[in-house]
Amino acid sequence: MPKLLPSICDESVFSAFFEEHARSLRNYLFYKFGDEESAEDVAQESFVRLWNNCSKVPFDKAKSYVYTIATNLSTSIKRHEKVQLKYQERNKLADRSNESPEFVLQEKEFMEKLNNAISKLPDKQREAFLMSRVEKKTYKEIAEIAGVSVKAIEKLMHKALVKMRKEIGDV
Amino acid sequence: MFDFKDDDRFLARWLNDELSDKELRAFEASDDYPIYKKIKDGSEAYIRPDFINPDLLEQIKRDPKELSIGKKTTSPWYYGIAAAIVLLIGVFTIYKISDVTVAPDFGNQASIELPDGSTMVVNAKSTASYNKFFWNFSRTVELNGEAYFKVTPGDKFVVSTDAGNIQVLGTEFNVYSNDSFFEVTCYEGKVQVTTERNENTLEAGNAYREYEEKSELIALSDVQPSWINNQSTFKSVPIKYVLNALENQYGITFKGNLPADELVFSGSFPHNNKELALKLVFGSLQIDFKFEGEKTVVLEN
Repeated sequence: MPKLLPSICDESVFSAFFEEHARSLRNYLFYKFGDEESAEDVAQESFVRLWNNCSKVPFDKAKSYVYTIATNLSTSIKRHEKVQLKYQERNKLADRSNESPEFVLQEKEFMEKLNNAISKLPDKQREAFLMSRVEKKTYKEIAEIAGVSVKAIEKLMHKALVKMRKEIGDV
Repeated sequence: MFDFKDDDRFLARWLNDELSDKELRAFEASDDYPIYKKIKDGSEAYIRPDFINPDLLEQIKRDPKELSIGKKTTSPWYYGIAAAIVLLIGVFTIYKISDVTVAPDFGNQASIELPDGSTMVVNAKSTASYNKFFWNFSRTVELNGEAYFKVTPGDKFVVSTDAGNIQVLGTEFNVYSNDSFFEVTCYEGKVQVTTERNENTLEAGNAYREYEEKSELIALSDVQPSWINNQSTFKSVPIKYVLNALENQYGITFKGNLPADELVFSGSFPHNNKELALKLVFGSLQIDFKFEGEKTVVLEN
């Protein structure tokens, strides 16, 4: 007998699925167009559609379903200039508390340059880079979301780093 | 500048701690390393953004229909329907009389110039149709089988198949869509391929393929599909699709011990020499074959 998968129509299943994937999806969209509000709207709409179509979407296809819906919906949304990310200041980390004020300032400047370099990356490279570095997704997971091979993601990552290194210049 | 020696995934492997000790030592000794290291550490310091609206889940569950973006307000629709029916009948008539279908038979190809100067070459046992009248509004070709396209730049050009749609602006590409095998190869420019499973943008020299549960992206070095030059070429394609191509090309059928589905074939066969074509395919797979009359080939494992 085939193993029965949980149904997305089950409220607790849907909630658990939402908890697991919503933040990643929303951030993926944020990295795509650099606007938190649009990212949230599109993520919300994608989950609404999943909920409305829960009987038609098998559990194991639900993840790719919401990502596909989100990608399709986002084609009409224009990209914002900057993907502004907040970061943990290093001097607040316990092991770095002895750094000099100059060092802290330098770090701040570097993070600004880094943010700027990320914003200037081509879309696919930026998405892959942030999904990997900030969302901590594996290359395989990113490849599944983007619908390309793992190799293609690795190439994008390499290109993104080379490009950022050029953009940042020497520090 | 550190030399990655044509390894276009080097830094991806470095981020994942997958470099060999030797590679890592060489990289760490380079002038570039400190900056790459700072990018790595810096990107680690980013805080993963969270929702602005923490009650999203509750809202979705409470009233999903209300939330939907792009919902339409209701309006007096019955007038619209009456007008639409009249319009539809007229449009349908024009549509029907200006429909063009091309379907070359076994072993033939048809080269067609489309109304905007784009060309398409349709392969044996394939059907392509388009509408002359509506061409200026929508450059759309319906395809079942295989065809090669050279698209004049302009508005979007769509090839619609059972497995998915291919959308371009102006470029050269090949589409194969039959039963459960779907392959799009881009030779120039860019094409967008949308299927139920995936959405991909292909650049020149890449192909996208779906069959059974698999979907893959492959790189190719050809400048034109080989069937245009009277050859069929395959790269790791399951054998049943190769047999299907032979049947379409030569109007033959196979019986006997058909090879297992897992068997894949890489290679070419010519379109003008049946004996040679069969020898090339089955020779490489060590399958014996003999003719039973003109049209039937019996396979023996």
